[in-house]
Amino acid sequence: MFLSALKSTRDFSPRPFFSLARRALVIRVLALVTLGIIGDVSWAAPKPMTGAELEKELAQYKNILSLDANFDQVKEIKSLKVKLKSSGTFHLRKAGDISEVEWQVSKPSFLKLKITPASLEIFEEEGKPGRPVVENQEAQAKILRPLYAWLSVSSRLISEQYHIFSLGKKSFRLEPKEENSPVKALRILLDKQKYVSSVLLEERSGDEIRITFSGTKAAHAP
Amino acid sequence: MMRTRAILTLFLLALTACKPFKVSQSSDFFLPPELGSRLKELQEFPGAWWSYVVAIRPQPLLCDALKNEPGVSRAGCNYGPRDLKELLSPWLHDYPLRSAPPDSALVLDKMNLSLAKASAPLGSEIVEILRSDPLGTYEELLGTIQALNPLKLEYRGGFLRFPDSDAAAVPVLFDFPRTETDRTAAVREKIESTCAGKCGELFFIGPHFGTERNKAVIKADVERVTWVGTLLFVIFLGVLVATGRWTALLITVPVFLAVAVAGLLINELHGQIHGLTIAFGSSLTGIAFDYAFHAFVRNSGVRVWHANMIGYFTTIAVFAVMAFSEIPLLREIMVFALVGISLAFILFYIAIRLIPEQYQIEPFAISPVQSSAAPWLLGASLLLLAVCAVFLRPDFSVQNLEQSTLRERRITRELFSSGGALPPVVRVHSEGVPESEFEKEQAYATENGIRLVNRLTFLPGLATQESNLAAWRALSCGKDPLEKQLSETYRRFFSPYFSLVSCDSLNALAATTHSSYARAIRGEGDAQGKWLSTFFPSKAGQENEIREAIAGTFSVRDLIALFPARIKKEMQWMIPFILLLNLGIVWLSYRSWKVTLAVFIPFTLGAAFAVPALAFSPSGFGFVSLVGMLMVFGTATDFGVFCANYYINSQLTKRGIWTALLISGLVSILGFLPLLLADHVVLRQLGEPLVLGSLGTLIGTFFVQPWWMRYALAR
Repeated sequence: MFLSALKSTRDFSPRPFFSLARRALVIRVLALVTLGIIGDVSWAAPKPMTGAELEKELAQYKNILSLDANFDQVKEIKSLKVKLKSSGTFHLRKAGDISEVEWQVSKPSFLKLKITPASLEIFEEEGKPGRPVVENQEAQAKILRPLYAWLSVSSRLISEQYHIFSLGKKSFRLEPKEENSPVKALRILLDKQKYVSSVLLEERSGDEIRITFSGTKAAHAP
Repeated sequence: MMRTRAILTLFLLALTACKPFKVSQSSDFFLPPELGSRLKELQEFPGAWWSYVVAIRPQPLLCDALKNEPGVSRAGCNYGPRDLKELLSPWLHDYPLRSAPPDSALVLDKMNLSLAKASAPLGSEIVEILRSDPLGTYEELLGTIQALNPLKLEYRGGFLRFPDSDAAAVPVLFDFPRTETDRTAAVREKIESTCAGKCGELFFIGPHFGTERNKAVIKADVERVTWVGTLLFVIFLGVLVATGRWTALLITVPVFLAVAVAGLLINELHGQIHGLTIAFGSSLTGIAFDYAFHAFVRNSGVRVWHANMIGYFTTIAVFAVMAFSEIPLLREIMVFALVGISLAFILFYIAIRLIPEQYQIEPFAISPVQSSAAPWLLGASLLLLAVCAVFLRPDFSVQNLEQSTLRERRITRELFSSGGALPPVVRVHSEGVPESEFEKEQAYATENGIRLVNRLTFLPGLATQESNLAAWRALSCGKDPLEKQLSETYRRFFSPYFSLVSCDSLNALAATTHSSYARAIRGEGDAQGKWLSTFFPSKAGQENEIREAIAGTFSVRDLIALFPARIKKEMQWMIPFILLLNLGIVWLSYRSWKVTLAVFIPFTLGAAFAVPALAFSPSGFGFVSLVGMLMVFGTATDFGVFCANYYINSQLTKRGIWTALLISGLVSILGFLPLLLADHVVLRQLGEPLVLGSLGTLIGTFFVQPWWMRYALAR
C-alpha cells in the first residue's frame, strides 16, 4: 500500500479547509487564547496582595451576620500514607468585630470545635460541656490565632497573620508570618458568589488538609 | 571576747568542717522520735517534694520557663500532653494490665473520635498521642498526678488562680530532695533571669525554696555578723590592752575546750549533731563566762566560788529540767549546755588556781547607783510582766523558724487554705504489705466519698492484672482480633495502639507492682520499696474520721503542729518547776526569803525589757526567743547571786565584783548586738531577747537589786 502510494503521482499535500483570510482569523484567535493562558499563568506565580485588596475580594463577608455551610474534608498524613476523611457543618456568627466559629464534625464521629478570639474549645459529646483543646496558652495561641483568622474570614486578621498572594481571580495563597507556625500555607478558592468554596491547608510536616464547602447560606446585615 | 558566745558557735562550726562532726539539719528532730521518723520517711517520697511559685498577674512565659527547667520534673500550669511525655509511654505499656479490653464497639467509637480529632489542624503532638492512646487514658494519668496536689485553687487560663485575686500558684515538683540547695538556687535564679519582670511579681514558697532561702540568708547573716563582731572585738581588745586588762582573754580557752568536748560527746552519743544544737548549745555554754569574770577580776569579793557554785546550780537546774523534754532537739541542746557549762566551770576552777595572781584583771572604780526610782522600776517591771503573762501568747510553730517576709507568710497561708482546701491524710506502707491493705483503703474512700491516691490508683492488684491480661490475650491472640476487622486507614493510623495490644506484646507483658509513672508515691532513699497512700478529705472533720478508721494514717499538718503543742505542754510544767527549783536552791543557800527574792530581781528587769519588746517585734516571740530568755535567765540569776553575795559577805569593800558584772553584762550585750543586724528570723529572735534582756539584767543588777539588798539587810 505504501509502495503503491509512493509510486502514485497523486498530490498528497494537505488542502486548506479555510481561505487565507479565515486562516488569519483562526491564527489571531489562537494567539489571543494563548495570550489568555499566558495571562492566567500568573496564577502559578503568586502576586502579593494588600489587606485592602483582600478586603475588596472578600466584600461578601464584610456585613455578614451569620454563615452556615457543609464541609467535606480529607487530611492526608503522608508519612503514614493515610487519608482521613471527615464531614460536617461550619457555622460562623459575627457580632461587630467578634466572630464565633463552630466547626462540627459529624463523620466519622461527633466532634465540635468552638473557636473565639480567646479560646479554642473541644466538645466530644453532644450536650456536654467542652474543654480547652490545649491547656498550654502559648501552644493554644499558636494554633488559635492563625486558625481563627481564616475561619472567621476576617481580611483584617488574615492580613495580620499571613502574607497574602493572589493566585488569580477568586483564589489566594496565605503564608503565615509566624516562622514557627505548623502551617506552611493555605490556598483559598472562592465560588461564584465569592464565598469560600475550598481550602487547601499545607502543613510543614508535609501533610495536607483539603476542605470543600457546599450549600453555603449567609445572612447579611441590612 | 567581745562576741565570745557567737565566736564559740563559729568555733564549733569550724570544728565541724574538720569532720569530727556529722551535722544534721533535719526538721524531724523537732518532733518526738516516733513522729519525727514519720516526717523523715515522708520526705523520701517524690510526691512530697512540691514547692510553689506564686505570681501576681502571671504570664505564660513563667510556665514555659518552669517546664523547660531540667531540675523541675513537673510544673502545675498549662496542663497538656507535654507534661506527660516521659510517663505516657510506660503508662500505655501497662494499659493491658490496668484495664480489661473494652467492648469492640466502644473502641471503634473512640477510634472514630480520635480520627475526627486528628483531622483537625491541632498539631502533630496531639496526633501522636491519639495514635497510641485512642481511648484517652492519658487524661486519667494526668488527673491522678494533679490529684496529688493538695491545692484547691480554680484552674483558669493555664494557671491555678487564687479567688478574687490577680495571683496564681504554680506547683513545682523538683527532681531532687530539698537538701540540694545549690540546685534549687540554680532553678530559682534561672526562673528569675528568664522572667526578669516579664512573668509578674514572683514569690518562691515551699520546702525546697524555703530551705534554700534559709541557707542563703544565714550565710549572708553570718558574714555580716562576723564582720561587725570582729570590728567590735578589735575595739574591745583595744580597750582591754589600753587599760592593761588583756589577760582577760585567757579565760576564753576553757570555754572553747568545753564547747568542743560537749560537741564531740553529743556527736559520739547520737552519731550526729543538729546545726541548731551547735548554735544554741554553745551560746548557752557561754554563760560560764559569768563565773570566770567573777573569779578573775581582782578583789571581786569573798566566798566567790560559793556564789559561783550557787549560780552554777541555778543554771544547770534549768538545763537539767529541760533535758527531760520529749523534743529531741531541745533535749540535745540542753544536754550539750549541761555538759559544756559543767566542764567549763571545772576548767575555770582549775585555771584560776593555775594562773598567777598578777594576771588577774584590775577592777574599774565603779559602784552601783543609789536611786529612788529603783522601787518604781521594779513595780513597773512586775506590772508589765503580769500584763504580758495575760495577753502574750508565744508562737512555737516550726514555720516560725523559717525565713520569710510577712507577705510571704500571708501568701503561704492563703495558698493552703484557699478553696476550703483541707490537709491530706497520709499513710506509709512498708515493703511487701499485702494488697488487701490498699483494697481496704479504696473501699473506705469510695464508701465515704474521699479522694484517694494509692498504689492501686496507678495499677490494680496482681490478680486483677493477671485477669485483665488473660482477657486481652484471649482477644488479641484469637483468630479475629479487632485490628483485622478494620480498614487499612485504621490499621495504619492506630498502629502504635495495635502494637501495644498485639499478641506478641501481651505475651511478653507480666503483672508488676511498680512503674515509673507511679514515682510520686514510691519511696526513694531510705524509704525504698515503700508506698504512700494519700487521702484528701472533702469536709472538715473527715481528717479525724480517716485517722480513726485507717490505722497508721496521719496528717502532716498535725505532725508539724505537734511541735508547738508539745513545747507548750512541757513549758506548762517546766517553767513553774524550774522557778521552784531555783527558789529552793537559792533559799537553801541563804535561808532568807528576802535575799532569795532579791536574786531574781535582775531577771525580772531583764524579762521586763525583753518580753514586751518581743511582743511587738516583727520576728515574734518563738521557740528561739524562749532559748534566748533561758540564756538571760542563766546570766541574770548568776548576777543576782553575785550581787547578793557582795552585800551579804563582802562587807561592801570588795568592789571588784561590779567590774566583773559590768564586763560580763557588756560581753553579753555587745556580743549579741550584731545579731540584730541579721535578716534571718531565727538570729533576730535570738538577738532581741539577749540584747534587751542583758540590758535589763544589768540595770536590775546595778540599780534595783542593791536598793532591795540594802532594804532587806537593814531590816
